[in-house]
Amino acid sequence: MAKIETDTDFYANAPVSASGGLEAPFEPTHLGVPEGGEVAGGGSMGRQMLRVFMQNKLAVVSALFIIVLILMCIIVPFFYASDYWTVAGSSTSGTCFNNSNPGGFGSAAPSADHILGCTNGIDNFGLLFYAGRFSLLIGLLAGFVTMAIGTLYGIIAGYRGGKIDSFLMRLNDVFLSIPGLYLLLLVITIYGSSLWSLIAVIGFTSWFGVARLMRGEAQILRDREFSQASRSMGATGRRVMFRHVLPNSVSTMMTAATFAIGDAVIVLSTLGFLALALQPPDYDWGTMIQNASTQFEQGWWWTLWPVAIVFILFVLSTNYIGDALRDAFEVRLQER
Amino acid sequence: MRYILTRVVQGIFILLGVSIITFFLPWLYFNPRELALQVLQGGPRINQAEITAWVHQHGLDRNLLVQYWSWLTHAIHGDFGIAYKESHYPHDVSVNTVLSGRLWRSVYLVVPPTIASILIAIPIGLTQAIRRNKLYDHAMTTGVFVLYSTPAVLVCILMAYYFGAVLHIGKSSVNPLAQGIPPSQFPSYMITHFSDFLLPMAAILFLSIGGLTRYMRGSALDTLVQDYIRTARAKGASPTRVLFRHVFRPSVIPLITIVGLTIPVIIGGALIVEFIFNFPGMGIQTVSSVQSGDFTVVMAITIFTAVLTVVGNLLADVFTAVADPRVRLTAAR
Repeated sequence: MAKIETDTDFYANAPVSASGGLEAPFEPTHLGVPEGGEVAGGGSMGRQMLRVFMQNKLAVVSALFIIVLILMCIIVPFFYASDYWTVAGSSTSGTCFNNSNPGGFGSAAPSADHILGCTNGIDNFGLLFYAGRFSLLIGLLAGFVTMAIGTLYGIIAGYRGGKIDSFLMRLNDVFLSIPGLYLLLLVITIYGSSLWSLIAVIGFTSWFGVARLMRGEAQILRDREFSQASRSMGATGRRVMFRHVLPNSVSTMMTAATFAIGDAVIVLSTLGFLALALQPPDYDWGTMIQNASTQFEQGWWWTLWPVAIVFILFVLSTNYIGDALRDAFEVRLQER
Repeated sequence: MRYILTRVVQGIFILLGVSIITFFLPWLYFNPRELALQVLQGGPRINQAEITAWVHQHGLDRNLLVQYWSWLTHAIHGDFGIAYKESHYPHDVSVNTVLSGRLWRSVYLVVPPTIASILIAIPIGLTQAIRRNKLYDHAMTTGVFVLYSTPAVLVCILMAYYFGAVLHIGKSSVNPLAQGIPPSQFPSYMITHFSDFLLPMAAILFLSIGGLTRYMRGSALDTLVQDYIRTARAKGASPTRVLFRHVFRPSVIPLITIVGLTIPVIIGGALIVEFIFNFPGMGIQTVSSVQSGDFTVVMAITIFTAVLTVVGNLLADVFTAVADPRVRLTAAR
């Protein structure tokens, strides 16, 4: 029988602080709020959390991957032609011309000119990052909408308690019992899909889990000493909620946000695959996968694998980062 | 018993809420006259009077609350109204015709792989927890994580191509004849034509197993650090005895709730599976109804899935109460 290890010396030999812009959201001092609990030593709470996060090599690699991916999605489309006319229509050797395709411009295997091959006369490498722009933009913003609504809803329910809480939570139960994808499809049927409506629809149909999570967090923080102290000094409920409860739940929010963004990108790809997301000339990874799925069956593996690998790695990264953030957050719980 | 009754009443209220949301979400937005125009387009000459007559005939000019009440009472009796986009004037096609048999076919598709994934997830999660941080655990965790992170769409496409088209392990598309099989004969049809259904079922298995294994591992880890496990070991109980007598039951009980909670996820995943493998179930109908904007059908399907979810959660709670005496005690209070 294996012994259960206890992680007592978990961050004993952790790297002392590392920069990289990651620590800012963890620093409670930035927010000017009372700290919960005294830290025995070894720097601020935020530093310790960062250390635990950095210890998780996989999560650091994931974070780097996502940063590189975002930069690529921003930069590559400026330099790399991926639209049909520039690539397929030009007479240079760099056309996506396929002899086996009667239409001429079709899908060509990877070559020196097109390192990831072509799909329907469009260069895959360029398209991957062009579509990534939309996928990541919608994912990030939809994740933000999800977090904003869920947090507000959860904190009000958890902090106010009583009748307001039970009403809001029963309503939340109702939404949670409609499978997410079906609710989403119902709304998409009605309100259609453009860039902004997709952000709104995905955001508005996926905040229910977050609300439940934040409600639990608010219930705990409501009864902590600093909230009581603040109330005893005459602070209004709203002030306690937004100046004390909200900033202290930032770590939970960060974790949930990571998963929310990953989920939003998945949901978007599902919609794209069902041809319910963006229409060309706008592209997203789901639409790419949908285009590829028909070509893939003819043995043109390069149409699907690049986007599939980047996509799975992205989702995997968000999951790893989310898990690492949760671990880092548990350090804070241990310190309490 | 009283606990179960409370949960049933709660479930009914939740379903009532679901019906309100699914009804008002589309109807607050839709203009019945535009709807009439779309349906009547097959008709000879359309004038305003005909549109008004059509709207009146279908009761779409009534107060929204009255409409909701009539829709709800019909829905409770199993009548979900008219599928407007499938209808061609003057013939109305009912939602029930569109959906006939699809619900049951979907259930038959989803249930066996879900049970199989539970049966596979329990031993994997348990053994992982016991060998925590060993190579086996890391390998399994990575595998499960990749499965968990791969979107349903990709799982299905890759399976349909590599197992279906390349390796010929199963068919990458269900025979369209399956659509004509009535629900009562469908299970036997699935057995006789197993190669048609092997891949979609395997896809659902892959989609549900990742999350379940993760929960099982976590739940077993929580159990292993309990004092009574240490006591049992100190008393000299053999590892197998500790595992089966002390670890197994308390770690499996939370999984029952998780299964209830993952039902919506599985149903959502089944939509993609049905779409890619061309399975004549509810999911594929959802996609085509959403694409054509046939919202009455989508409303009916949303209600169905919500009912399945609520019933699934209810059953999970009941099973938990049966399996865990503490729940019974707290509920009886």
